[in-house]
Amino acid sequence: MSGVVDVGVRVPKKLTFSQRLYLPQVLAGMKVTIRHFLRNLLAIRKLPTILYPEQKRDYSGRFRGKHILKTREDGTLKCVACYMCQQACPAECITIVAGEHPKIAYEKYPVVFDIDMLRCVFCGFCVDACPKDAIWMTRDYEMAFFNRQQAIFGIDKLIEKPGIPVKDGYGYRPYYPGDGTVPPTDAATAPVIPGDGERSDLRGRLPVYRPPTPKLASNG
Amino acid sequence: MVAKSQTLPAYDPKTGAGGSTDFLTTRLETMVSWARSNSLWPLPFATACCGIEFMSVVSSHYDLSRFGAEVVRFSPRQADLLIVAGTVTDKQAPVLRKIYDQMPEPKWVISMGVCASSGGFYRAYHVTQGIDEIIPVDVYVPGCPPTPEELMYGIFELQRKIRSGEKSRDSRSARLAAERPA
Amino acid sequence: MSAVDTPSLSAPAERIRGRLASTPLAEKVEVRDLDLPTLEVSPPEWPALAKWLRDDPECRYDLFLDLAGVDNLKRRGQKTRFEAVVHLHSLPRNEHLRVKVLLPDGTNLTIPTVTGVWPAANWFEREAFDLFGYDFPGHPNLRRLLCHDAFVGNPLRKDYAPGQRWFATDADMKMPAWALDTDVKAGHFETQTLSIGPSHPATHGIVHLIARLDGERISRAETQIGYLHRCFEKMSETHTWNQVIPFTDRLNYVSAMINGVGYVRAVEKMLGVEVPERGVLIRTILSEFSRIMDHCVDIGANLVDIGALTNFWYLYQPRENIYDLIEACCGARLTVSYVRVGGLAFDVPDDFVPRCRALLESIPKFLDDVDRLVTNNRIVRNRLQGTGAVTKEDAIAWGLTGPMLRACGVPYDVRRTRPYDFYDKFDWDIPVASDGDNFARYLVRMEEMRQSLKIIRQAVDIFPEKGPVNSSDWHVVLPPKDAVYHDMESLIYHFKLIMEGIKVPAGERYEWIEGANGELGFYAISTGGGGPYRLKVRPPCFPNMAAFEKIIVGGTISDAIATLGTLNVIAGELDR
Repeated sequence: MSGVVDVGVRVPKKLTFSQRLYLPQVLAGMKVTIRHFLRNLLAIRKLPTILYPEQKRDYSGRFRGKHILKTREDGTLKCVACYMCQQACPAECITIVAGEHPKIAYEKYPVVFDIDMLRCVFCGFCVDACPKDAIWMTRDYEMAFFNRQQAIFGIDKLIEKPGIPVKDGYGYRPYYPGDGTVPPTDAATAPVIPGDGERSDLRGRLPVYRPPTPKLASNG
Repeated sequence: MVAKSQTLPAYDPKTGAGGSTDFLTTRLETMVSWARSNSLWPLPFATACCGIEFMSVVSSHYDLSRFGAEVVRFSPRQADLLIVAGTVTDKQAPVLRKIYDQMPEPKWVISMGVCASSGGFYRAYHVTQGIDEIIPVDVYVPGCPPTPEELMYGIFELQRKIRSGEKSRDSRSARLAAERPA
Repeated sequence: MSAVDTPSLSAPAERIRGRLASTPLAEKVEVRDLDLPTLEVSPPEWPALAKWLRDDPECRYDLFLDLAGVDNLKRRGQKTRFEAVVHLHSLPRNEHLRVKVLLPDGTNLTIPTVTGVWPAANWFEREAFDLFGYDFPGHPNLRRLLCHDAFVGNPLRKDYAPGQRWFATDADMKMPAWALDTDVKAGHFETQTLSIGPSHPATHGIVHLIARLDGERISRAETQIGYLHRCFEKMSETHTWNQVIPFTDRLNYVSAMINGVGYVRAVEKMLGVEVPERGVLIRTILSEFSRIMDHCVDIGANLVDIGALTNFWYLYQPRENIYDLIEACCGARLTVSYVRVGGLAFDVPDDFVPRCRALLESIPKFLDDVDRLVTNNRIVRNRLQGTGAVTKEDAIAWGLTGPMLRACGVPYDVRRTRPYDFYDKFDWDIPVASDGDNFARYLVRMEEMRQSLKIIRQAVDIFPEKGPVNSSDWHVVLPPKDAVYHDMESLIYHFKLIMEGIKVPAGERYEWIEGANGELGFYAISTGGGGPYRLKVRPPCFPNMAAFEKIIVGGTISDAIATLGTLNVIAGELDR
């Protein structure tokens, strides 16, 4: 039965005598805060704090972090400098200069592919726009610069180096609406276990945090 | 008391060498820099969405106070780290300059997010295209908004810079800051 | 206009035309039917029409929603170059109306003010003065609102370059004239003018409050905004329809999804595409989670301002848990960019429903904790009860919507008055209160969070396991990637959509939804191109903030800070 509920009626306007006395309310409030305090003190494995940098939050397989330019099996960039990502970018942070590739099947390749990380808003539109599966995003977010020139990442910083695992794993990649992720048949993708927000322990020094599975009422 | 008779080679951010890290003996300056880096008092100049992520950084899930930056001071007279979080517009720019000028030395500036660093995707008539038009910046943290870990990584880089004894700003931003009328 | 050859109109428009026929305005007002009933009038008759619309017993358009300036320089088929498009709502009849005030030519931009009829029009007219250069004779305080005082020109005109900036220095920041007058006395005592902001811990986002103080009491106040004017509307004119979506995320950045949903609904209605049921349900569920996040921040920040810091940490926990869910869906915590015109960017992960259910179990615990600490606390009651009170008539006159209006006793919620996205299928209540003070708003927001949880629970129960989330019209939605990689036709659709944008047929549309702060409206004009011609956002906290300077008069500074907290001013939305 949808209706209107008057919350002013539900909560009495005047406080009762014990509430006005102030001290009983203080003690009732401290019951709540001390419960939180003791829970944090005694069950330290369930502490909500993520102890970065020793622990990192395990972001999902769709996380939008630093971009990565994918390569074919022979090591050349898959990118054919079609300028679609440059056009799709709302921040105009991608600069591409196209060049002619000696191999006729590849036709074009980017001579310059710069992303200005201090303009990029990490929206993922470039990944959506690419027709050649050439640009993905990773789960790497650890970037900080001392000047603005450092922030312009060229091909050397963005390319996926064969044999070297991608830092923190793959993140946002082209999706297939409705089907789930199905990578194209000629791509070589390393298996990635997507995270679900739990903490992953990188250095093995601290216990791995596992948030308690909430007990669902339906016990599903 | 400190003998500043020797000049230090300049800190090189790329290799992390230079500054006072080259010296084996503990100098007072090293100790002071260590103390300063571990007790930063941030002034969150939070204007927009990055301000919300900054609130996440000081909340329980990430907790910046683990690194000494617990005392968040909103008065520039009492703070030494200015974190500009969010877009700075041309209307806000004089305010930012005033706040920066009111902070006592030594002070550092982190430009959090792409809007503060370069204007972000707002190439518009009222948005300052980067706060380094107005004030010198020490660390630029990208992201829109940067995840809390990314901001903490930026603060670690700043701590590394402080510990090295480096006090000068990036030359470009210092020059721009000098040219622009206050 | 003669009534002989006009086509037959919809019932509300016919009714207005019939009522108008018996007034002297009948000849001067043209009634049309676009997506809303539209009246067209020229400036000299506008105040009389406004008064008639508000007072006529069959019309009663008492809620002033929006005034948008439009420059038709590059738009064909319009009567004049400049227009002011006004949107109104009638609370008794539950109808929206659009009135277009057509300015006669490009040089005479005078429109008589209607602040005497609807006080809410005050700041909207100032904004039109600032961004378009319209002149409103009779306006009490016609100064620039969003751009700084050293700004030259009117930026939203079509002949103004989007990147043309003007520097402001400290000397350019002007105080209002009354504030500079230091000689005002209250009885024997001097008064003092205090400037609170724009960089102040209690002014969330950035707001500048100038108050004349008589001791601790505020005798006069004025707010200055525009410190976060990021030119959203001009940016939307230089980008394509889908590229505007990241910009909409940064409007109300604590509940980013809701803005995106409102915007794409406007575009989808202009296109005539239908989003499948699963896509709509995902939008609804995530919008309600965003609403919970928004109220968490608002209540938390408000309590921090009055000294109760613990609740801020407690309320941030549900936010972080919801961030987990949203990040698993779309890849970013705060600025989601998850919607697209025609549906969503992609489907939710497989464990979406169990995650939602887990959140439904964990969030109420934090709300209960905050309730136990705050609701019956004597200090909170002293700070919040009785302060910042707004009467029902004032609330409607000032154009307030959302929790501020509901706390005064008016059950106006767009999800109920004009249901969209399955809200009429769910069983939920609108919380109202009757006091209109800060405590009432706090209670209304707490209850709204619980009602949102109720809606999400029902939505998750009917959530289909499989199904498309996007419309299948490739003129609007990007084709699936495997088709784009292998099939030429899909590649061509993909190319046209990315390079040129979606071709939305020429027209205009005002689409409104319930944002966390009230009615969030998007007025979009298309000329058939790949991007919006004009996009005006009706921000819910804009009239709320305009009313703030009137609410706090007579109270103390501490009451003003508490009131500012319950207003939930998000500067991204306020200044755009």
